[in-house]
Amino acid sequence: MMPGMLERLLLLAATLLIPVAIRMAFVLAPTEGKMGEVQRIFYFHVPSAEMAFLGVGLSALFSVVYLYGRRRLVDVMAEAAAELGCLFCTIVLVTGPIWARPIWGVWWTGEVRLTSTLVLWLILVGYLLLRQSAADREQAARWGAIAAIVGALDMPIIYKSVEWWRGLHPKVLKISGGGGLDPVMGQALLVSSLAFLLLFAVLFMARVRLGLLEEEAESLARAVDRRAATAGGAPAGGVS
Amino acid sequence: MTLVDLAGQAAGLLTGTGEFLAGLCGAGIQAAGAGAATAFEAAVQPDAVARRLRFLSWAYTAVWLILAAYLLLLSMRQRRLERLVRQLRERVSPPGPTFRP
Repeated sequence: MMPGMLERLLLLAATLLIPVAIRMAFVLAPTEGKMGEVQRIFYFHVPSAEMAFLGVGLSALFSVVYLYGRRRLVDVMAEAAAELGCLFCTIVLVTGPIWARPIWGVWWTGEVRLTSTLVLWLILVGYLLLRQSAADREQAARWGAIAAIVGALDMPIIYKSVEWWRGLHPKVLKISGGGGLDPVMGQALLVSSLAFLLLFAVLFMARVRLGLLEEEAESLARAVDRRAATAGGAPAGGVS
Repeated sequence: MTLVDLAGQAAGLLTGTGEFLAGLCGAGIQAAGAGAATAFEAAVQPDAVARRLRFLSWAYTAVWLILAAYLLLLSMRQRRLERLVRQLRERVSPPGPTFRP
Protein backbone atom coordinates (compact mmCIF):
# COMPACT_ATOMS: atom_id res chain seq x y z
CA MET A 1 0.00 0.00 0.00
CA MET A 2 1.58 3.29 -1.13
CA PRO A 3 0.83 6.30 0.97
CA GLY A 4 -0.19 9.22 -1.22
CA MET A 5 2.14 11.99 -2.27
CA LEU A 6 0.02 14.47 -0.31
CA GLU A 7 0.48 12.45 2.87
CA ARG A 8 4.27 12.42 2.41
CA LEU A 9 4.37 16.12 1.65
CA LEU A 10 2.29 16.90 4.74
CA LEU A 11 4.57 14.72 6.88
CA LEU A 12 7.63 16.49 5.50
CA ALA A 13 6.08 19.92 6.04
CA ALA A 14 5.08 19.02 9.61
CA THR A 15 8.57 17.68 10.33
CA LEU A 16 10.11 20.91 9.09
CA LEU A 17 7.64 23.27 10.74
CA ILE A 18 7.53 21.69 14.23
CA PRO A 19 11.15 22.64 15.14
CA VAL A 20 10.53 26.16 13.78
CA ALA A 21 7.40 26.46 15.94
CA ILE A 22 9.31 25.26 18.99
CA ARG A 23 12.14 27.70 18.39
CA MET A 24 9.63 30.53 18.07
CA ALA A 25 7.76 29.45 21.21
CA PHE A 26 10.78 28.83 23.42
CA VAL A 27 13.39 31.28 22.14
CA LEU A 28 11.94 34.08 20.02
CA ALA A 29 8.65 34.84 21.78
CA PRO A 30 9.05 37.29 24.68
CA THR A 31 8.40 36.26 28.25
CA GLU A 32 4.90 37.19 29.39
CA GLY A 33 4.78 39.86 32.07
CA LYS A 34 2.71 38.26 34.81
CA MET A 35 2.92 34.52 34.29
CA GLY A 36 6.56 34.25 33.26
CA GLU A 37 7.94 31.18 31.52
CA VAL A 38 4.98 28.93 32.22
CA GLN A 39 2.92 31.02 29.80
CA ARG A 40 4.87 29.31 26.98
CA ILE A 41 2.57 26.30 27.52
CA PHE A 42 0.10 28.52 25.64
CA TYR A 43 1.95 27.77 22.35
CA PHE A 44 0.95 24.12 22.41
CA HIS A 45 -2.11 24.27 24.68
CA VAL A 46 -4.04 26.66 22.39
CA PRO A 47 -3.19 24.85 19.09
CA SER A 48 -4.19 21.57 20.75
CA ALA A 49 -7.53 23.10 21.69
CA GLU A 50 -7.93 24.33 18.10
CA MET A 51 -7.22 20.83 16.76
CA ALA A 52 -9.63 19.29 19.27
CA PHE A 53 -12.30 21.67 17.95
CA LEU A 54 -11.33 20.82 14.38
CA GLY A 55 -11.61 17.09 15.13
CA VAL A 56 -15.00 17.40 16.78
CA GLY A 57 -16.29 19.80 14.12
CA LEU A 58 -15.17 17.54 11.27
CA SER A 59 -16.57 14.48 13.01
CA ALA A 60 -19.95 16.16 13.45
CA LEU A 61 -19.93 17.32 9.83
CA PHE A 62 -19.05 13.86 8.50
CA SER A 63 -21.65 12.36 10.84
CA VAL A 64 -24.40 14.54 9.38
CA VAL A 65 -23.25 13.60 5.87
CA TYR A 66 -23.21 9.92 6.90
CA LEU A 67 -26.73 10.04 8.35
CA TYR A 68 -27.89 11.58 5.08
CA GLY A 69 -26.08 9.33 2.60
CA ARG A 70 -24.95 6.25 4.66
CA ARG A 71 -21.58 6.03 2.93
CA ARG A 72 -19.01 3.92 4.78
CA LEU A 73 -16.03 6.10 3.85
CA VAL A 74 -17.69 9.12 5.45
CA ASP A 75 -18.22 7.14 8.66
CA VAL A 76 -14.55 6.11 8.65
CA MET A 77 -13.60 9.79 8.31
CA ALA A 78 -15.98 10.78 11.13
CA GLU A 79 -14.43 8.18 13.42
CA ALA A 80 -10.88 9.29 12.52
CA ALA A 81 -11.71 12.94 13.21
CA ALA A 82 -13.37 12.10 16.56
CA GLU A 83 -10.39 10.00 17.65
CA LEU A 84 -8.01 12.85 16.83
CA GLY A 85 -10.35 15.29 18.59
CA CYS A 86 -10.09 13.06 21.66
CA LEU A 87 -6.28 12.93 21.35
CA PHE A 88 -5.88 16.71 21.19
CA CYS A 89 -8.53 17.27 23.86
CA THR A 90 -6.44 14.98 26.11
CA ILE A 91 -3.41 17.19 25.47
CA VAL A 92 -5.48 20.26 26.37
CA LEU A 93 -6.66 18.65 29.61
CA VAL A 94 -3.12 17.60 30.56
CA THR A 95 -1.32 20.86 29.72
CA GLY A 96 -4.06 23.11 31.16
CA PRO A 97 -3.73 21.94 34.79
CA ILE A 98 0.09 22.03 34.49
CA TRP A 99 -0.27 25.72 33.62
CA ALA A 100 -2.94 26.29 36.28
CA ARG A 101 -0.94 24.90 39.21
CA PRO A 102 1.75 27.62 39.35
CA ILE A 103 -0.61 30.40 38.20
CA TRP A 104 -3.86 29.70 40.06
CA GLY A 105 -2.32 27.59 42.83
CA VAL A 106 -4.60 24.63 42.04
CA TRP A 107 -4.50 21.88 39.42
CA TRP A 108 -8.21 22.06 38.72
CA THR A 109 -11.17 24.26 39.54
CA GLY A 110 -14.85 24.18 38.68
CA GLU A 111 -14.40 27.01 36.16
CA VAL A 112 -16.85 26.74 33.25
CA ARG A 113 -14.30 26.48 30.42
CA LEU A 114 -12.45 23.70 32.22
CA THR A 115 -15.64 21.83 33.05
CA SER A 116 -17.11 22.16 29.56
CA THR A 117 -13.80 20.98 28.04
CA LEU A 118 -13.85 17.97 30.36
CA VAL A 119 -17.44 17.31 29.26
CA LEU A 120 -16.29 17.39 25.62
CA TRP A 121 -13.51 14.91 26.40
CA LEU A 122 -16.02 12.61 28.15
CA ILE A 123 -18.33 12.82 25.12
CA LEU A 124 -15.43 11.88 22.84
CA VAL A 125 -14.40 8.96 25.05
CA GLY A 126 -18.08 7.96 25.12
CA TYR A 127 -18.11 8.16 21.31
CA LEU A 128 -15.22 5.72 21.06
CA LEU A 129 -16.69 3.36 23.69
CA LEU A 130 -20.13 3.45 22.05
CA ARG A 131 -18.65 2.40 18.75
CA GLN A 132 -16.76 -0.43 20.40
CA SER A 133 -19.87 -1.74 22.16
CA ALA A 134 -22.22 -1.59 19.14
CA ALA A 135 -23.51 -4.85 17.70
CA ASP A 136 -22.51 -4.08 14.12
CA ARG A 137 -20.85 -1.46 11.96
CA GLU A 138 -24.13 0.17 10.99
CA GLN A 139 -25.20 0.59 14.61
CA ALA A 140 -21.72 1.85 15.57
CA ALA A 141 -21.90 4.46 12.82
CA ARG A 142 -25.38 5.62 13.87
CA TRP A 143 -24.56 5.84 17.60
CA GLY A 144 -21.24 7.52 16.81
CA ALA A 145 -22.91 10.09 14.56
CA ILE A 146 -25.31 11.09 17.33
CA ALA A 147 -22.47 11.34 19.90
CA ALA A 148 -20.37 13.46 17.52
CA ILE A 149 -23.25 15.88 16.94
CA VAL A 150 -23.81 16.15 20.73
CA GLY A 151 -20.07 16.83 21.14
CA ALA A 152 -20.24 19.62 18.57
CA LEU A 153 -23.02 21.28 20.57
CA ASP A 154 -20.53 21.66 23.45
CA MET A 155 -18.06 23.64 21.32
CA PRO A 156 -19.80 27.04 21.39
CA ILE A 157 -20.25 26.66 25.17
CA ILE A 158 -16.50 26.11 25.58
CA TYR A 159 -15.62 28.96 23.25
CA LYS A 160 -17.99 31.50 24.78
CA SER A 161 -17.81 30.33 28.39
CA VAL A 162 -15.26 32.98 29.47
CA GLU A 163 -17.54 35.74 28.19
CA TRP A 164 -20.85 34.25 29.31
CA TRP A 165 -19.81 33.24 32.82
CA ARG A 166 -16.80 35.55 33.31
CA GLY A 167 -14.54 32.65 34.16
CA LEU A 168 -10.96 32.69 35.40
CA HIS A 169 -9.58 31.25 32.18
CA PRO A 170 -7.41 33.81 30.33
CA LYS A 171 -9.02 35.37 27.30
CA VAL A 172 -6.41 37.87 26.15
CA LEU A 173 -2.75 37.65 27.13
CA LYS A 174 -0.86 40.79 27.94
CA ILE A 175 2.86 41.35 28.19
CA SER A 176 4.06 43.71 30.88
CA GLY A 177 2.77 47.17 30.18
CA GLY A 178 1.28 46.09 26.84
CA GLY A 179 -2.28 46.10 25.65
CA GLY A 180 -2.84 42.69 24.06
CA LEU A 181 -0.92 39.85 22.47
CA ASP A 182 2.63 40.83 21.50
CA PRO A 183 3.17 40.56 17.70
CA VAL A 184 5.99 38.01 18.13
CA MET A 185 3.78 36.00 20.50
CA GLY A 186 1.04 36.14 17.85
CA GLN A 187 3.44 34.92 15.16
CA ALA A 188 4.71 32.11 17.40
CA LEU A 189 1.12 31.06 18.07
CA LEU A 190 0.28 31.16 14.36
CA VAL A 191 3.30 29.02 13.39
CA SER A 192 2.56 26.62 16.23
CA SER A 193 -1.07 26.35 15.11
CA LEU A 194 0.06 25.64 11.53
CA ALA A 195 2.45 22.93 12.74
CA PHE A 196 -0.35 21.31 14.74
CA LEU A 197 -2.67 21.56 11.72
CA LEU A 198 -0.13 19.72 9.56
CA LEU A 199 0.29 17.09 12.28
CA PHE A 200 -3.50 16.72 12.47
CA ALA A 201 -3.71 16.28 8.68
CA VAL A 202 -1.00 13.59 8.67
CA LEU A 203 -2.59 11.70 11.57
CA PHE A 204 -6.05 12.04 10.02
CA MET A 205 -4.91 10.48 6.74
CA ALA A 206 -3.13 7.67 8.57
CA ARG A 207 -6.21 7.01 10.73
CA VAL A 208 -8.55 6.98 7.69
CA ARG A 209 -6.22 4.48 6.02
CA LEU A 210 -6.43 2.31 9.14
CA GLY A 211 -10.24 2.56 9.13
CA LEU A 212 -10.34 1.42 5.51
CA LEU A 213 -8.12 -1.53 6.38
CA GLU A 214 -10.60 -2.44 9.17
CA GLU A 215 -13.39 -2.32 6.59
CA GLU A 216 -11.45 -4.62 4.28
CA ALA A 217 -10.76 -7.07 7.13
CA GLU A 218 -14.47 -7.13 8.02
CA SER A 219 -15.60 -7.77 4.46
CA LEU A 220 -12.97 -10.52 4.05
CA ALA A 221 -14.11 -12.09 7.35
CA ARG A 222 -17.69 -12.11 6.05
CA ALA A 223 -16.53 -13.75 2.82
CA VAL A 224 -14.67 -16.44 4.79
CA ASP A 225 -17.77 -17.01 6.96
CA ARG A 226 -19.97 -17.38 3.87
CA ARG A 227 -17.51 -19.82 2.36
CA ALA A 228 -17.33 -21.77 5.64
CA ALA A 229 -21.15 -21.90 5.85
CA THR A 230 -21.42 -23.39 2.36
CA ALA A 231 -18.44 -25.74 2.66
CA GLY A 232 -18.78 -26.58 6.38
CA GLY A 233 -15.35 -25.12 7.32
CA ALA A 234 -14.22 -23.02 10.30
CA PRO A 235 -15.57 -19.45 10.54
CA ALA A 236 -13.20 -16.45 10.28
CA GLY A 237 -14.07 -15.06 13.70
CA GLY A 238 -14.78 -11.42 14.60
CA VAL A 239 -12.67 -8.44 13.54
CA SER A 240 -12.20 -5.88 16.27
CA MET B 1 6.01 1.93 1.59
CA THR B 2 3.28 0.80 3.99
CA LEU B 3 1.61 2.87 6.65
CA VAL B 4 3.54 0.88 9.24
CA ASP B 5 6.76 2.08 7.60
CA LEU B 6 5.35 5.57 7.46
CA ALA B 7 4.37 5.44 11.13
CA GLY B 8 7.80 4.02 11.93
CA GLN B 9 9.43 6.85 10.02
CA ALA B 10 7.20 9.38 11.70
CA ALA B 11 7.97 7.86 15.10
CA GLY B 12 11.67 7.99 14.22
CA LEU B 13 11.30 11.57 13.13
CA LEU B 14 9.40 12.37 16.28
CA THR B 15 12.04 10.65 18.39
CA GLY B 16 14.79 12.46 16.53
CA THR B 17 12.89 15.68 16.72
CA GLY B 18 12.21 14.98 20.38
CA GLU B 19 15.93 14.57 21.05
CA PHE B 20 16.66 17.70 19.06
CA LEU B 21 13.86 19.49 20.81
CA ALA B 22 15.02 18.32 24.21
CA GLY B 23 18.31 20.05 23.49
CA LEU B 24 16.51 23.01 21.99
CA CYS B 25 14.11 23.10 24.90
CA GLY B 26 17.03 23.09 27.30
CA ALA B 27 18.64 25.92 25.35
CA GLY B 28 15.30 27.66 25.04
CA ILE B 29 14.60 27.29 28.70
CA GLN B 30 18.05 28.64 29.50
CA ALA B 31 17.52 31.53 27.11
CA ALA B 32 14.06 32.06 28.49
CA GLY B 33 15.50 31.85 31.98
CA ALA B 34 17.98 34.55 31.05
CA GLY B 35 15.10 36.66 29.73
CA ALA B 36 13.20 35.97 32.89
CA ALA B 37 16.18 37.10 34.91
CA THR B 38 15.92 40.55 33.35
CA ALA B 39 12.15 40.84 33.32
CA PHE B 40 11.23 39.24 36.59
CA GLU B 41 14.24 39.26 38.85
CA ALA B 42 12.92 42.20 40.79
CA ALA B 43 9.40 40.90 41.03
CA VAL B 44 9.71 37.13 41.19
CA GLN B 45 11.92 34.93 43.35
CA PRO B 46 14.50 32.82 41.42
CA ASP B 47 12.94 29.72 43.00
CA ALA B 48 9.60 30.65 41.49
CA VAL B 49 11.20 31.07 38.04
CA ALA B 50 12.82 27.64 38.31
CA ARG B 51 9.51 26.17 39.48
CA ARG B 52 7.66 27.64 36.53
CA LEU B 53 10.32 26.34 34.13
CA ARG B 54 9.82 22.92 35.66
CA PHE B 55 6.07 23.09 34.97
CA LEU B 56 6.79 24.19 31.41
CA SER B 57 9.08 21.21 30.82
CA TRP B 58 6.46 18.84 32.29
CA ALA B 59 3.80 20.15 29.92
CA TYR B 60 6.16 19.95 26.96
CA THR B 61 7.17 16.38 27.80
CA ALA B 62 3.53 15.37 28.29
CA VAL B 63 2.59 16.59 24.79
CA TRP B 64 5.33 14.52 23.15
CA LEU B 65 4.58 11.45 25.26
CA ILE B 66 0.86 11.56 24.39
CA LEU B 67 1.61 11.98 20.66
CA ALA B 68 4.24 9.21 20.69
CA ALA B 69 1.87 6.85 22.54
CA TYR B 70 -0.86 7.52 19.96
CA LEU B 71 1.53 6.90 17.05
CA LEU B 72 2.69 3.66 18.64
CA LEU B 73 -0.93 2.57 19.11
CA LEU B 74 -1.76 3.39 15.47
CA SER B 75 1.29 1.49 14.28
CA MET B 76 0.40 -1.59 16.35
CA ARG B 77 -3.21 -1.58 15.12
CA GLN B 78 -2.01 -1.22 11.53
CA ARG B 79 0.41 -4.13 11.86
CA ARG B 80 -2.25 -6.38 13.44
CA LEU B 81 -4.83 -5.54 10.77
CA GLU B 82 -2.40 -6.08 7.91
CA ARG B 83 -1.55 -9.52 9.28
CA LEU B 84 -5.26 -10.34 9.66
CA VAL B 85 -6.09 -9.16 6.13
CA ARG B 86 -3.24 -11.25 4.72
CA GLN B 87 -4.50 -14.36 6.55
CA LEU B 88 -8.10 -13.76 5.48
CA ARG B 89 -7.08 -13.22 1.85
CA GLU B 90 -5.28 -16.55 1.89
CA ARG B 91 -8.42 -18.23 3.24
CA VAL B 92 -10.69 -16.57 0.68
CA SER B 93 -8.46 -17.41 -2.28
CA PRO B 94 -5.84 -19.98 -1.26
CA PRO B 95 -2.71 -19.99 -3.41
CA GLY B 96 -2.88 -22.79 -5.94
CA PRO B 97 -1.72 -23.72 -9.40
CA THR B 98 -2.33 -20.91 -11.85
CA PHE B 99 -4.02 -21.60 -15.15
CA ARG B 100 -1.92 -20.64 -18.15
CA PRO B 101 -3.69 -21.08 -21.51
